[in-house]
Amino acid sequence: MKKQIILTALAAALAMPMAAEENASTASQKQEYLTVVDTIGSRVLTGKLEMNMEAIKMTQDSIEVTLKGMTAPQKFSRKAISKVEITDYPVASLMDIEWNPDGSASDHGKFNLPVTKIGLTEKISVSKDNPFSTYAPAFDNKYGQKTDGESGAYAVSYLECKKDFNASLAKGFTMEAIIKLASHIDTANEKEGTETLPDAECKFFSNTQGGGAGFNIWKNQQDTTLSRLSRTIGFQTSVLKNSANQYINVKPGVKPKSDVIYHMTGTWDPTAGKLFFVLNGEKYETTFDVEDITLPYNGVADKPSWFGIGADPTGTKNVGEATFPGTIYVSRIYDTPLSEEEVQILYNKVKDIITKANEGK
Amino acid sequence: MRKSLLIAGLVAMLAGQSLMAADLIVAKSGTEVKKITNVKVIKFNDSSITVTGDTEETVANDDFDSFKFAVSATSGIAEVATTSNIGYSNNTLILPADAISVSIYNLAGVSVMKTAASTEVSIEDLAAGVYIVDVKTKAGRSVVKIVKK
Repeated sequence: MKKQIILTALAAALAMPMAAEENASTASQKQEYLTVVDTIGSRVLTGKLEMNMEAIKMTQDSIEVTLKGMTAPQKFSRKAISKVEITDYPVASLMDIEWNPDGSASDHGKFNLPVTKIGLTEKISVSKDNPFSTYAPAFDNKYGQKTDGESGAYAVSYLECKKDFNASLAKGFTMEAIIKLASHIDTANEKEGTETLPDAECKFFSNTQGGGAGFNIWKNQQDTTLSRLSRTIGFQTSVLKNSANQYINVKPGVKPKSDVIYHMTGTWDPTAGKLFFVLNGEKYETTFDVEDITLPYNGVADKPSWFGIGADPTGTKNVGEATFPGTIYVSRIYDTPLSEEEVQILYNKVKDIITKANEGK
Repeated sequence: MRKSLLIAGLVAMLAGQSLMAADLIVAKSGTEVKKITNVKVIKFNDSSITVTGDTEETVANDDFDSFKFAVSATSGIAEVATTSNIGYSNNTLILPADAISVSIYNLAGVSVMKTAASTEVSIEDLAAGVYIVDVKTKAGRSVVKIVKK
């Protein structure tokens, strides 16, 4: 027999108005986010909505948007805007790559960055036959090699907007990726098929040539704190310290398994002096005392100014290295350092899918 | 062993959780033409705008000359049902017949479940803990706290 409870929800609150007001003032706020999308699909403005603030004013000709932290509204021509979206999760405005059925890719970030294939492009196949049902590239690459050999990758160039792009990164950012190492990469037994797995770095979403930031599967190496740190997935960014480049790394000591889907975020927060990496909901972090990010080559125009997806840039134009064999489902950069709570929201969006896909692995 | 579920109806603010409502008011010559609540998307077409929220409305350009979009708290007592007819049986929420959607949040404000209208919603898969259940109905909204043990 069913038991049913009829709730009398507000009786207590109505009886205790003072208590209710007190709780309201200390309540944790569920955030809402607003994204303005232009007519070519670029997210020209993203941010948090402010309670009790008039976020959008519109006339027949223009749209004025005011978001949390803005001192003045940002004005858009109505004809330049295709839509405004309100979400309960953060939206990536610096880079968000979407793959097309023909293998090409588009960026939905505010700079509409061009995405091109590099290296041995026949090593890349795009399919949506995956747990997320979105088009995603699978890279039939060698592990940790160069793209001018037997591997392919994508280059997302910010050369044409380097100054503004770098300025956005310099304020702090979060990178997000979802990946799966190919089934023939047996990290437990150090095998790539029947061959020995190279003792090399493997980078699937990064720009760490002479500076920069990105995710990394580090090679086996000695470590000052551990007797031997074997391959570990993690996040790194280059910073300036005493006018010299220095990489700050988060190395959790987690060796990624083949055929297992991983969601991850890497956040560089210059204000907090904190770099943290979250892998399938598990947080790892380090702290630092520097104030700036060193971007690749410090703005030298003829050097690569691109993020690699499936590889990391080398010093040679459109040549990648540290190639990645496997599938990449998500490659995003948020133009603000997301909080731990916001990163958890991103993971929770895909947690059920990932958990189900990884069952028994 | 049978798990028990205690449901204590409270407004969201009593659970330390304040929800937000994003409403859009379309006007012409200072007079309200339409109000769409809980707006999620505003599309700008050549000759109209289409707003998707609790309802979807398309307003021709000729029928308005301005709109305003603002966010407010929904934790005010006036906006939450004074009684709730949400019940449970065997890890299943029993919702009113006019329910439009139900969203369940943990106390960090993270959405753990969201589903369209149904008179019964299973919460069997949720881990033990405290959750906020936000049920939108044609008549308004009910927010309750549940404790799943």
